[in-house]
Amino acid sequence: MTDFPALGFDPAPGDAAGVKELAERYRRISTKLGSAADTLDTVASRTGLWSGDAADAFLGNVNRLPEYLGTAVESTSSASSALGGWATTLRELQRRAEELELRARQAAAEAAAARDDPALDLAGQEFFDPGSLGAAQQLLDAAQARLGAAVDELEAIQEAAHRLKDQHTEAAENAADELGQAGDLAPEHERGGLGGVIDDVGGALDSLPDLVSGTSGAAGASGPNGSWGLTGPEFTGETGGPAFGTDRHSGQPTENDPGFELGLGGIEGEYNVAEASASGETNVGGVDLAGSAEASLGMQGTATASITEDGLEVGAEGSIGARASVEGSADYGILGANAQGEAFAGAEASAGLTAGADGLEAKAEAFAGGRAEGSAGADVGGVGAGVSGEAWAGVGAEASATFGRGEDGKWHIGGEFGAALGVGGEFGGEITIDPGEVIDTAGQAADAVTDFAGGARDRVGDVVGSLNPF
Amino acid sequence: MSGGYQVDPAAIDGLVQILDDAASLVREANSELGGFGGGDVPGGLAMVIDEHASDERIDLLGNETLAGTAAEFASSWRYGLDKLDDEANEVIERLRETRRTYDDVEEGEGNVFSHIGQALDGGGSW
Repeated sequence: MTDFPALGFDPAPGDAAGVKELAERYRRISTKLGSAADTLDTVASRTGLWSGDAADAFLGNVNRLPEYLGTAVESTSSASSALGGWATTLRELQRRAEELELRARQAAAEAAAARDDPALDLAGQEFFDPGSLGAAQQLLDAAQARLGAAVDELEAIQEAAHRLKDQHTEAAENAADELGQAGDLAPEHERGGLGGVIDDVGGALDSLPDLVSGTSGAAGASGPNGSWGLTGPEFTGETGGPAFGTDRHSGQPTENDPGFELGLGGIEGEYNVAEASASGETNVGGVDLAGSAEASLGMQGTATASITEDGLEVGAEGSIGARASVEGSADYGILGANAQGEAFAGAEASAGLTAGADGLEAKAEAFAGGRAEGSAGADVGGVGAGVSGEAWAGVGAEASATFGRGEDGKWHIGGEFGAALGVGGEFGGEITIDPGEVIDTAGQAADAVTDFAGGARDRVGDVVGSLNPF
Repeated sequence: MSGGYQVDPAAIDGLVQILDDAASLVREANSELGGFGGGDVPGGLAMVIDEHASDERIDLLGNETLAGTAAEFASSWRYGLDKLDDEANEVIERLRETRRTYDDVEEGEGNVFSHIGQALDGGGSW
């Protein structure tokens, strides 16, 4: 920094080079932020990245960021201009200050020389002739004039330096005003401006987890909760409650079926159902059902879940089918079961199941067909028959309404039921249904059910008897 | 669930990359500003960031009023850019978490169907 000994003060303080660097830094900051905004702009131009409500909300917020960054770009760019302008002005002021300092030094030197002029010593001396007096007077006058001029120059330079200082102050304050205006766009200056915007963004993004997790939940339908992984062997009938079901009379989802009533909840409910299924182990019934699987219907076997509703794990299995149904569950979680059916054997059959007035359970049974005697067990639980019939209906026209409970409260399978079985055979192609075996299987299933239901055996026996149309 | 969703994992990765790139630029900008955690920036910029008056800042800009305004400006943007950086990183992390969730789901579904398929084929119990 230049010293100003002659002037006695710095009329244009500041580091012009440093200010210029600061301005350049703000320019680089502005450029980087502009690049960031441009980068984020590409998000808005992308389509099909992510669809759904959560995605819309998320992208809506993200797409606002370029605007916020645009404000930052404008603000820092303006700051750069303000500081750049100040740097230029400051450099000029300092150039002039240096000139003044130089002039002041020269003036001071001249003043010093003038002050030291020997002619000034002539003052007060006596002269004895007019010629000598006149000559001395001229010398003294010249020396005094020289000294006076030097002093005047020094004073003029000082005044100029002060004027320069005033100009410096004025220019600096103008730059401060300009910078202040740029700063008005900055967060802490205007909460309603970018500051508020940033806070809004933060808030919006804070909601992202919910949105995303909600989506995950949907995915959960796919098992974001690891449901699927959990599904399976470890699951026990005790843990898997009747996750789904419908009121036998109204056909509406039961209270303990949150999943079906609510999209995401439904998913979980289904998930639980799936677990129940896994527990097939619970009921050896699972094993018996293996046979069912043959019945194929594989997925339908799942329908056995209805039993679960009666408090039996068996019912849980039915859930598995339900799991997929989630999709169908659009209205009822139950529909989900259908989805699963599709996964295994072809979904159509499942659709029929859904319609069951007694709810999933009923469906399951309907499906199990002969096996379903287990259903009989379900009967213990009060499973409705009509449902079953519909389940088969889904499989084929012949199957429709063939399975139902008569006025006597017992389960009945008409010729149509047989037809339904036939249809089932068609499904698997390799499926072979032996009515007798079916009955046996049903009996075994009923036994399994009995193990869980307790006391159901007798009733199962009745059902088995009523089921045998052959 | 109403509305449903559809996700392209690769698209999420792309989105994360975009946000990451943008966040990096914001971070660099903040570093230029004398950024948080980055220490002082050569060239006397850092001293402009302090909100409190300082002789050094005044020496740089040559005027107390201007120095105060510059300090306030820098402080404000430090806050703003810091906030943006934090939020961007938060979003990035959540997106990555979402991606991981979908990966888990995919894997989980595969296992389930595998179990069921084995059961239907006469394999183990499920």
